[in-house]
Amino acid sequence: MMTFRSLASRLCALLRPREWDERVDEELEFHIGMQTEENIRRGMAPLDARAAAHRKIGNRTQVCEEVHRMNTISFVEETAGNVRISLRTMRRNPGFALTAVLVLALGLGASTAMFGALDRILFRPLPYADADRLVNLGWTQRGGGATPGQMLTLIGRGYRENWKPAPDPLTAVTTIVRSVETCDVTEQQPERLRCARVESNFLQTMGVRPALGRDFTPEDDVRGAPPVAIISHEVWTRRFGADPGAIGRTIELNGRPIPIVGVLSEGFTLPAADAEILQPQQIFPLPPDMVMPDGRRAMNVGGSLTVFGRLKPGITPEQARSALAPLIEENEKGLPRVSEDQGQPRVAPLRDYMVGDASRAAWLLLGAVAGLLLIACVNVANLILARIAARNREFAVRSALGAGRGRLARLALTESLLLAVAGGGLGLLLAAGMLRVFVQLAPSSIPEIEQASLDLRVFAVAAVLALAAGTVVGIWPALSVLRSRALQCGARGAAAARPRMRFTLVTVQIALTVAMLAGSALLLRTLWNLVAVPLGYESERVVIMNVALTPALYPTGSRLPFFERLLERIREIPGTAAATMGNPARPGAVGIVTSPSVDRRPRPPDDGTRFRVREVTPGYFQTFGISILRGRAFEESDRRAKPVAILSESAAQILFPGQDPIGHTVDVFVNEWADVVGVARDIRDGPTQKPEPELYILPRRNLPFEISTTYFAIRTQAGADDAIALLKQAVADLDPRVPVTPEPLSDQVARLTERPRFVAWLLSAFAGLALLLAATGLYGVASYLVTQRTRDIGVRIALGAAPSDISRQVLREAGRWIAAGAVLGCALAWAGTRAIEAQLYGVSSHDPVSWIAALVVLCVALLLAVLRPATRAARVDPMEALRAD
Amino acid sequence: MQKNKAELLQGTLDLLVLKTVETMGPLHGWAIAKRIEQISEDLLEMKYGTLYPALMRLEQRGWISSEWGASENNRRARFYSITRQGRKQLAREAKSWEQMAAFIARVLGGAL
Repeated sequence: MMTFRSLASRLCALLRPREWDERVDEELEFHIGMQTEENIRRGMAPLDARAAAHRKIGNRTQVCEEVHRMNTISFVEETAGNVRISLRTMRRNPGFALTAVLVLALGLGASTAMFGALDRILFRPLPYADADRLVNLGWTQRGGGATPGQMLTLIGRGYRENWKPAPDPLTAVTTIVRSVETCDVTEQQPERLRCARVESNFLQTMGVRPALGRDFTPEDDVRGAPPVAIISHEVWTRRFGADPGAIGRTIELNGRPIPIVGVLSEGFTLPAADAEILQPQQIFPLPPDMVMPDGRRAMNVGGSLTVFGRLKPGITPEQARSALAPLIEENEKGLPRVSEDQGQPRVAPLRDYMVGDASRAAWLLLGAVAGLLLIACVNVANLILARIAARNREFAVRSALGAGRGRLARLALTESLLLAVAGGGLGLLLAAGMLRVFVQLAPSSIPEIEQASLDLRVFAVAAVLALAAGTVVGIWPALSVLRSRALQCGARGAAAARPRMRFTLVTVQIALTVAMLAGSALLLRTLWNLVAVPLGYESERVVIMNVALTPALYPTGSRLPFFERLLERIREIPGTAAATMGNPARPGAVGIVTSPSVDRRPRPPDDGTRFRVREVTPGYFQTFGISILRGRAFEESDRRAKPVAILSESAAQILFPGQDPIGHTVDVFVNEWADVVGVARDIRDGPTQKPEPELYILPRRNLPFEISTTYFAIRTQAGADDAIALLKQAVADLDPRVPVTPEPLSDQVARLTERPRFVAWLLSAFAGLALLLAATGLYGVASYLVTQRTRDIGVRIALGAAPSDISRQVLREAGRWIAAGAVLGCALAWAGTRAIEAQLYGVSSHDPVSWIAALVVLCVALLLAVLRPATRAARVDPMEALRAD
Repeated sequence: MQKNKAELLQGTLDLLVLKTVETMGPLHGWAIAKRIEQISEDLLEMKYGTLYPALMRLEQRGWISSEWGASENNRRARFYSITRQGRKQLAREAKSWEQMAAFIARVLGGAL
């Protein structure tokens, strides 16, 4: 307070208002002197002469004040005064101030935290130059990625022939190898890092330069060129102590020393991927004799790439898409299909690629939290309104003492701004806590959320929100002050106009709450549906781990034997009921093939169906609890006998419609015929995915290629923690250099639904808070009305009305408000269902059960809120009420 | 007594002050007030109180300047004189005033 005042006076001194004050004083004095002299000359007595001169000047104080106002920043002074008055009033009624600040803090805290969490996804600039000109392009298919529903945009490796130089309207085009792979540092402090293979112009296209050293050159990217690496800032700091001399030294990756040529700048990330090491792709050129059956060159030999391009200035991704679609389509021919979805060409802004469909959920949550903030503001406005009604007299007196309407309105506004500032400050603290919780709960599929923080930008948003909230909250009461005709209206006149406004406010609150409740009911049902979808396997009591072998340490031919030795060991872990290699929770299959031929008939034409080939060991079906519907599971003896295969239900249906597949044969690998011995239940990658046809075979030996990574799983009687420790021990016994992180399969399965879970729980929490606030608001208004009508109620009771009639009347009135709010809310939510549709599964956005549930919860909570005022009304003592005034 | 006196039209005080200072040279506040009253032949009722805020406003806008000096009876008084900007402003205002006056005269003279 003091500082505010001294600041104000210093500001005034800065503008030298005192000099002006003194000057006008002196001038007026001179004027009066001259006038007095003239009056005396005209024959007046000296005293009269001076009095007349004064009269002629008019109100001298007013003149001084006018000049003063003209010359000072009187705004500051007045504000300081207003702040003083407001603080005094709040001290006198701490309950009101505390409630208002808490409610605002809740709204602001939740919205600030949510903004902090989602800022990176929706708003924050990407760490690339001119990022809005960067696009991801290629052939896009749904599914197949690690996350259900994720889009996969790829291009065949042959793209280099058609896409260099960059086709119009791109100024540059670059790629990274689709999957970022792990690589092992095999020198001191061995560790497992992620290595990405990028085209030599990758960094250049993204518009970034290494912080140290050099970028890749086209020569580095030629097949067979000496290998080089650019390391992340973090690796540079951790392994090289941030020594600039690291350039030119080597890092041994997978048993091979690689010279370091550059260090990335701090905070650089690949789009939607994380990698500590960048290496040139060194893709081999397409052999000139690779031809597709139809005579065209095969463009996709050797896998696929993720493509990024930089658009010419002023070109939109849509324009680029229509220009580039034919080229993408040409390239796509023969890309491996990962699902039955045929896919389409796509050119999308880089942010869309990085964030994917998470942005929809993000907007939904932002919308919900904005609703919550609005409800909080309305609630506080309502509180203030009640206070204003109580302070009518005070304002009347102030007005009588000469305060203009503007001045009074500014006073009311100052009060609400003060509340907003206090609420905002407390909200910021609250936000820091809530953000922690959000990040803990957030699914890994919401990108970069773990880096969310409350930084300056978020703080600025909070400040703007607080001030906006203050203005919104202050404007209504300020308007009502402006409209009130101060002295000539008693308490009654002003109050008469106000219930309608308060009614409107409560209705708005209820409407917003209904919309949020309906949304969360729909999401909870979605979650319920998702969890209820049978995945086809039992995840309880199963512990799973991924084992990856570095080719440098385990050359081809030694990996499968290692895996089999490991499997032997983990079978011996106490409490193990079954053990196997393989993982049904992951789409990662050994191969994806077109419909295989059966019973030694020629291969059928490709109809787009894709089969997944899984190499599993006997014990797989038992470990994961996948039921065998016909025939039998694999047995140990199968490994030494002739090849056998097991089909999933849907695979059996496609290959042998209407027949018993047992006893037939299937071509599992170029003329390797296997007897079908069983049919297993379908499994799903995730609750929203359809089962893919699966072809199970036993691991094959003596192949020129060999898997380097596989999952091991045990079904255990022991606790998960014991099993995890024992699994780690089993791997370490064989080779301590192989890092593993076993985890319960149920955790993996829970991750399949973690985003809908996150969105549903958050929205429900917000809806719950909204309901709480709306109930508080309604309670406040109802109690206020009952207090106001104590006299009327007393009269009615005195005239013989039963107490139950009185409370019924209060309830009926509140019921009308609730109904109005509910109808408005339903209309609002109905119009907004499109926003939520993308998040729903197995439930229509107009699902009656969810809507009715939302309305029931609302009505029960709100009626409970008005129960107390209603019973209080019934207990009014008529004698006391009539005596009151 | 006051009934016959015209109220000073809003905004005309600035014009009167500027004109007075332009023709009479540096004047102190009281002299300006006297001069205006004199010219109006006491038809104008002028609250002197309004004059000083107006003078300061005009000075802040840079249309007049002021300095301390000695009055006829050797008292310390503030003398106001017109600036170059003030002359321009006066010309502008005078022109628009004349146009307005002519228009009103035409209306009152029955041009409608």
